[in-house]
Amino acid sequence: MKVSILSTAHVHFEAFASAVKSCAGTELAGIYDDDAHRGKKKAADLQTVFFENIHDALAVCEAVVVCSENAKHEELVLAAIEANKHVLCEKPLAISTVSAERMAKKAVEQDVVLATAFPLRFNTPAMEMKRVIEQKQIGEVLAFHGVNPGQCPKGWFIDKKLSGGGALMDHIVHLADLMRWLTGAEVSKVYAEADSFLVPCITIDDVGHVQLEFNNGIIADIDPSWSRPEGFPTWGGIELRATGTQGSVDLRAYAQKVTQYNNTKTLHHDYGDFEYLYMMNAFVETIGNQQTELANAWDGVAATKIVDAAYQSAKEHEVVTIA
Amino acid sequence: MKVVILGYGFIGNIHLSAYQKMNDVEVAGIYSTTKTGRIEGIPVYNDLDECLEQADVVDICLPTFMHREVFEKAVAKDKHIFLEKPMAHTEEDCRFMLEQEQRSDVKVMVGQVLRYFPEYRQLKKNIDPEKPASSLLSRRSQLPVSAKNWSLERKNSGGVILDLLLHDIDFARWAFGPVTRIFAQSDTEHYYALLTLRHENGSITRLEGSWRYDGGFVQEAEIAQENELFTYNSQDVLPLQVHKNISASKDSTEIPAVLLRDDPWYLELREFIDAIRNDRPVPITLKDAYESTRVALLAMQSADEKRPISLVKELNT
Repeated sequence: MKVSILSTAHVHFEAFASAVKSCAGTELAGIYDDDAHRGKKKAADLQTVFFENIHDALAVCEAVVVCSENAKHEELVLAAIEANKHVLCEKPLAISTVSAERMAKKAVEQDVVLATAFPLRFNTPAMEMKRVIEQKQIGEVLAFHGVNPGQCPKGWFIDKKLSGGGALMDHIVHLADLMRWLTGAEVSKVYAEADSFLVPCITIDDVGHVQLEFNNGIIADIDPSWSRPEGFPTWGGIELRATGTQGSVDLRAYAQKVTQYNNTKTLHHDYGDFEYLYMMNAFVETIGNQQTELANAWDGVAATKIVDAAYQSAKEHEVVTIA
Repeated sequence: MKVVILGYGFIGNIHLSAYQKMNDVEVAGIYSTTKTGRIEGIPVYNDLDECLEQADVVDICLPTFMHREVFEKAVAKDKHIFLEKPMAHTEEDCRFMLEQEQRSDVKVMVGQVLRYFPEYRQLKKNIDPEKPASSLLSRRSQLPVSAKNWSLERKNSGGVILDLLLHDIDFARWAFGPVTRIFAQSDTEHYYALLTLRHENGSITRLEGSWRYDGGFVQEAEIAQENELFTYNSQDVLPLQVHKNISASKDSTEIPAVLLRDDPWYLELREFIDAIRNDRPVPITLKDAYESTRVALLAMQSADEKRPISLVKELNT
């Protein structure tokens, strides 16, 4: 299946490109980017074609990966769906619930796959955690405690017009989706405190402390803060503890690494499975009408609702109910 | 100086060891409702009034719900008081005890012992007090086993928020200042809780307290400030681990492994004794401990009412 990548703006572009190239079912058809300078360079690095016009990129493929700035997801996704292409869209699906819902409805109308990139569903330790929970090894789940801190990604991420928001927009959705996927429950209430005081010279939110209540009574919290300084040896991390009636399970999704020190810095080398590859496999299988764990457009909508509610709660200092 | 220890459970035992290291302190009696005879040569009293007569200083290590009554008696007899945390389990008891103290001349210190843990002192010393902080404080253990399991009942102990997380709430107030907004969630039994605190200086503190953790006792702190990050996890810094090929019996209440010449319980009691000896103010006053206890009690209320609670200003400050 030929896949074009629409935009190279997001930091996960390299992971997507590598997955498309290494997945047995996909072939990289080319790259479109509204920043031609950036797009040409990335295309050259990957030895693939660069398209200045999005319609040319769509003409040569059956499916696309959308890897743009958050605020441009809707425009690119809708263009691809109108051209009858299947879409795997970088998270968050959209910068608002209404935008995400428009995209999800359009995909239903055109009968194409619109998937949200939540690679944690294909993280091997996270999949094992799901098995542990489903087998009731820790009894009934009562609570989740999640941290997804990172370094500030800078660039367009700190420009609200392009990102839709800061750390809350960037980092709530991974763990929110993981909790939904692990339990099958939906978030019903959100409380959040947010601020901007960790990264100098930016005004967008870089601190977030979010609490959730699920419709089955599970309580949870998420730390999406950009709290890792530039000297931190890695981009951040994802950890999740599920506490149950008969035990608990601690997930460190990216713990599998070796550490290298030299005279000036510390480096980490990951050796865990490459989850983007397994997500790409699932994208191909989903298009082939197979049942997979891939997050669909409505999972993307659900995550976006949580982000919207978190921003509203942080502003109003009240618990926000998700209808 | 003569001290009596009121209550000889898990914390009474730790305090006795601390006093035994002090040349200028004699433990003249232990009050217990369950034990008789002598403990390490010290007479055990089953009658509280009789025990109180034996000393000038009392150390209250009884279950939380008994604090108010014993505190009142000790104040009435003009005894200096070391009071184990939490000071009490209801707002009413706290206020009553504050009034009793204010009308007396006795010295009262509360055992918010985390302030004497050197790792938490290092954190406090190295953060920038001028800048807001984004923090995560977590404390986890197995369900404690105590006499008649009093601490498992929320009505007696306050549950995991008041009994366990109070340590970290007190640290958060000590390090980041007064709290202005509280939101909390917990399980039905109050064995697990998640708290979010907003401080007057803009800091945000998130706390996790668990009595449902079987992975060994953990205390954890992560503090982020502008361009800075401090991390500490007790399980990552164990200086000595002994592994045996026999199954070990579990402690009834799990506490952090402390390998220090002067442990935090010794340090807090030493400063209390010195404050009496030199007639100086105690380092952790009843009023100060009350402010932390009040945050914990409001967190329990927030969890019950499922809403954030705002404090315009902490009481009288």
